[in-house]
Amino acid sequence: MIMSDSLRVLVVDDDQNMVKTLSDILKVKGYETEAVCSGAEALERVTESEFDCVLSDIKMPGINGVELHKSIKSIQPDLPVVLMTAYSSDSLVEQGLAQGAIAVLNKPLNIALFFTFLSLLRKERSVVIVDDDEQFCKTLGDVLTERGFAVTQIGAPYHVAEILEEDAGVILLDMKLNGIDGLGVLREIREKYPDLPVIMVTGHRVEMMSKIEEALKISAYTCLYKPLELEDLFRLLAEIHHKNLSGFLRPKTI
Amino acid sequence: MFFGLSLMEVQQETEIMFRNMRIGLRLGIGFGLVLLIFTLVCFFTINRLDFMSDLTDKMYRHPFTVSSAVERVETNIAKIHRSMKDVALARNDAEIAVDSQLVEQYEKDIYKDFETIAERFLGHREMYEDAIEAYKNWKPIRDEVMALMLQGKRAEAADITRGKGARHVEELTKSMAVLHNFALDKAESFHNDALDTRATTLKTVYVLLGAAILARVIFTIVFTRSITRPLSELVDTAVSISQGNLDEDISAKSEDEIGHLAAALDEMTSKLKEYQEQLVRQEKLAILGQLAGGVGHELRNPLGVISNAVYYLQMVLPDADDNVKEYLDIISSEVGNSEKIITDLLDFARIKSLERVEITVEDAIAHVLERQPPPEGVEVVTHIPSELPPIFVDVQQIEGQVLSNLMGNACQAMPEGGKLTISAQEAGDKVRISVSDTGCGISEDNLKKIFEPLFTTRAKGIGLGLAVTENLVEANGGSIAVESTEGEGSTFTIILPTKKGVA
Repeated sequence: MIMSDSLRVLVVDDDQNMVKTLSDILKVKGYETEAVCSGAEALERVTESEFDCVLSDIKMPGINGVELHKSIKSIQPDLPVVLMTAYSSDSLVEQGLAQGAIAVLNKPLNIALFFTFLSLLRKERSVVIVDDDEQFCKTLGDVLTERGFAVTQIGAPYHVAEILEEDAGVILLDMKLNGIDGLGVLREIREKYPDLPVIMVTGHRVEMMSKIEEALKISAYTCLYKPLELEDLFRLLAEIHHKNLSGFLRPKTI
Repeated sequence: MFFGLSLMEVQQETEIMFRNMRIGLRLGIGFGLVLLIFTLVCFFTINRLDFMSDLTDKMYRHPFTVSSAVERVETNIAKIHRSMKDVALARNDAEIAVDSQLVEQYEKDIYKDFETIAERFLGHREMYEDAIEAYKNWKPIRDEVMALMLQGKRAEAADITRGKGARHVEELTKSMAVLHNFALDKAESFHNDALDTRATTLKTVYVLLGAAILARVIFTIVFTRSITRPLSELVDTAVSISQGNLDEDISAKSEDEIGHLAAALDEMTSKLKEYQEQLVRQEKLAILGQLAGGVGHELRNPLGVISNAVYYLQMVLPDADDNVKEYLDIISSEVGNSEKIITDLLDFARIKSLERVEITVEDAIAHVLERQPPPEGVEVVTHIPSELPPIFVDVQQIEGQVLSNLMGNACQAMPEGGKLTISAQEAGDKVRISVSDTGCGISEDNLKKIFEPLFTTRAKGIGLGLAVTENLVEANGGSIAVESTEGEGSTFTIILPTKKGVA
């Protein structure tokens, strides 16, 4: 995976003025942007190089946005695809959301919101590991870094909430830290960041049963057991990622 | 009563008289009158026939009997006369006795006939009494002749017979002829009577029949016309209606079945007109909806590009002079306004399935007031009974659009401040909610068009708010009405179903 400083965004729309204005705006904001005018071209670009986000119109002649999204999923399953449309009530919108598009945005595009979303894309790539087991921290940290996550490791379980940075994405929290209860740390974090996703980790499945239940009650995201199944973890991280992005972009219903 | 009026006028008068009568009754009267006339003719004819048969009877019983009795008397008198001659010519006593017996026999017959005459005679008593008297005078003459013959005085007897006897017979014959003549006269007069009666009866029957036919014709014309004329008027009207002329005047002119038919037709036409208007309105709404949807969506693309372009310029020109910045802001905010109009259009065009839930009116009103607080100077008064059942509607549509629209409009109608009154009452298995303001009110002309799409009195806005509101209320199974007094304020009333009210 190429990690560049700036995110690479692919803009797809059959309206030339739309792609031009959008890509110009993104470029000015410092995003690496490519603009294409059809689904076919977009697929070509996605196959040739990697992108961090695709912003595509739904209604296009030839390959439409929903079909494009479907094809992209087979090439690069994690690539977030945001669709946009001028038609608020359309069966394509529902299809797009059903097959896992991050969101379907209405035109005219709320660009400020989209920028925030892009910055969120970067932020969501960070993982904080809170564990007193140094070996565990290092190996997991290396694996995650290799997968493209920004990893922060916290070995000492004191004042975790204060140490956490504002843009922390996901927290992996051990339930037993040097005799200190992980549950207490979770409460601390909840006080400061009520919506931050926290995944509890423990090697003591049986003894910790009641604590796990309590942690889930105060909205821990889930609980994983050591030794960690890495594929599970990646899937989970991708899921949280997607949920956060969607939650951010999809309009709140009254 | 109709003298001095022309036939036409009579007919019209009668028609007007009959017009308010039920057709059945009219027909009944017509046929009844004709039947009455025919019955009268029949009775009269029967009566006359009866009379004529009486006459025939009388004729047979009286003059004919009398005249034949008289004839017999005359014959018997002639026979007696002859027998007397025989007595006179008798050679011995035995022959005299035989002839005397014959004479007595004839006398008896004559007496019998006289009885018949006395019984049947229709003339004066004296006429036949004279005859009887004359006959009675004959007896002493006969006895005298008999006695003379028995004494053998033949010549004297013959003299008496030829003299006194012959005279007497003559006298008797004369009085009998009088009787005879009288009887014949009487028969003649009966015959004449019968002929007269037959003639007058026939004449009267013909006249009555003629009158009956005439009456039948007149009744037929009057009655038929009183039925067919309004009917054909109705037919003309119906044809005109079928050709699309729904403003045809079909005011019911009579109280009969045709009047009722006209009233029904009138009702039907006004319903038809109403439905047609409704259909036209729905069609208009549907076309407008399609157009709004299409245009709205198509405008979003160019608007999106404009909005992007402005965003770009604002980004790359952070140091532009204030004028340019202001203009960019103007474009940006106008793009925002345009988008709002498009959203309105799309709301109007969108056909969404209902997601009904139960919500109390109190909550719904509170939510709207929370989301769009009334401007300063507007006092909000609510009259919502606590036991009011919740309404069963699509909250997004009723709370988010209908109530919010009505309350927003009410506030806008009171720029100088005023009182916003929201009240609710239970109405069967529905709930009536009224939103009243103390604003400027709505003129009568505008009140009619207020729910029509694209009607607006405001400088801004495309006039879809109340059309959308009405559509949504109706889609939720409710209805909306408005009352307004210019200068005093307006009241919008919506009726929405409770869970029980949604079948």
